[in-house]
Amino acid sequence: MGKVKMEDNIIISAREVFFEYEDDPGSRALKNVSLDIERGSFVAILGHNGSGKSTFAKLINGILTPTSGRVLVNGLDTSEEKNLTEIRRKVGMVFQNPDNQIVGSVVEEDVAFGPENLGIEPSEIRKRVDEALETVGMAKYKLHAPGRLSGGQKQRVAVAGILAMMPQCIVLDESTAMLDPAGREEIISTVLKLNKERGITVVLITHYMNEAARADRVVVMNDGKVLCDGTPREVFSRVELLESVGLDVPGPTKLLYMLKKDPRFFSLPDGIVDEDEAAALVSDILNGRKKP
Amino acid sequence: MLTDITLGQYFPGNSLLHKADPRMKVVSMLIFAVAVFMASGLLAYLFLAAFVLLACFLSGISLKVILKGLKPVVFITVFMGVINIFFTAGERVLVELGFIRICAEGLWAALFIAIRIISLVMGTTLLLTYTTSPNVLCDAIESLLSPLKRLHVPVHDFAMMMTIALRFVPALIEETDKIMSAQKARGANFETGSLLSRAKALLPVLIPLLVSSIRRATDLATAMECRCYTGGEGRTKMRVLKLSFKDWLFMLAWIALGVALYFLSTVKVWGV
Repeated sequence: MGKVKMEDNIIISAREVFFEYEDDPGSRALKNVSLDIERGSFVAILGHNGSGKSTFAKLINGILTPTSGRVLVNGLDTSEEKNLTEIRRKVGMVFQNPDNQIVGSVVEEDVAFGPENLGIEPSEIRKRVDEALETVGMAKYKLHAPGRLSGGQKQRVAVAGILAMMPQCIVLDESTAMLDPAGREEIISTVLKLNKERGITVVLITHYMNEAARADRVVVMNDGKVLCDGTPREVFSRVELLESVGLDVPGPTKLLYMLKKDPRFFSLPDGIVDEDEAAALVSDILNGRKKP
Repeated sequence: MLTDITLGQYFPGNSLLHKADPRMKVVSMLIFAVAVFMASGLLAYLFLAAFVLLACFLSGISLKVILKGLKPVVFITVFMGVINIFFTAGERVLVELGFIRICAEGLWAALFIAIRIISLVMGTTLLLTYTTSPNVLCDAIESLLSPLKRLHVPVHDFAMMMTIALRFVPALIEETDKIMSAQKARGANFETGSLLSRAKALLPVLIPLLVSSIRRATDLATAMECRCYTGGEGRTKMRVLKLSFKDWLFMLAWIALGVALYFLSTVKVWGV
């Protein structure tokens, strides 16, 4: 029913997508974006405000539909109304503001909201809710009121609410933007775990470089287009390109990039994002120079 | 300050009253309200007071807390009592000073009205707000009204609206507090001045609050849609309400109260 042929290992496929906001014609939030996201991968979409990254996220599960081009999820076109429920049970979305996406006044009731909508048996819902809360480490808060939780905890409840629907993919639409560093770490490590242990595809929309650095693949967007796309190492080695569009590279990458201007450090590789790895490389060279 | 407000104070617990089926509690509450008005005569009122005190005891909520909850009705109780003392016409006159005339009947009437108001408030709060969480109450109301679905009354939608409203009350209170603090920091004055000027000072609080509520509502609607919410049809519930034999007994107890009050009202003690 309306299925389009697509390679099996691709879960989300955007094909020549253009998007204009209705209340702002000619705005061109997305200009010809084509992107395939592989099943089980962890993709970070990076860009500053107005780059189109959040618009792209909203296209994935049909909150917005492309002005032209198409977005396919498991071969289902998001612009067809009848596909939406199926798409949304496969692709869950965690939003930016933790307060505005929690429906229930008790944590476990909120987590049950999704499966209840899908018409699942009460005993099965119970099981899924307990399991989802366990997975995100919020089981002991299941009878708490969401208002009293910290930002990171609220977002973990939101993730659990999605997990209880047993999705194949989770999209985090700047879900860490309103959190403090500890809360951000809670969310990133939770989704990393889901990605590695359960094989759930994660699409992380963010403007934090160090978060993007932990993904398998980084897509940088600028002015409604894909600027570059590759592993974190490939992407972050292009320091000049990123800086030309106003994006910073992660601290270690930047440090090595600057050190390389000194001939002594010329052999340093590009695109290192891990602090320890960078420290080891630098110390090797320094120690190497000390030895005769 | 504002965050101290708790809506429909619920005291979690594990008592008989807490465990009873919420639908039975709603129905019992209605039976109770009718039963209270059935009472007349000293014996009936004493029985009513004893029944309500027993319910207090069974709820496991301290009497102090319950009495605190009666504060809002103190004024009306005293007012009604005074009116009854002075304006009840009777034969057994106790005091007569000019146009003021107090009779024994008036004193009894004042006592009865006080028992009636206090037990009505205590009984209903004990049955519903104190021992039933707001969400469970919403579920119960949805379930009780579900026959109206046949008449195309959107029962589910109303229940969902109630649930969401309850969820956002604390959030909105917090937000109001924040906006008021922000305005105060800019020199706004909410505490002094005439009533009119204080009302005017609130306007700059209400507008941002309205704007942010609308934004919240839009966000929430999107989030709900993303979690496959399409209205009540085909929806299941994690918590299923089930009536047990005990719940029927529970309701029966309240019916028994009504019947007892009816018969006790026919017995006169000391002429009242």
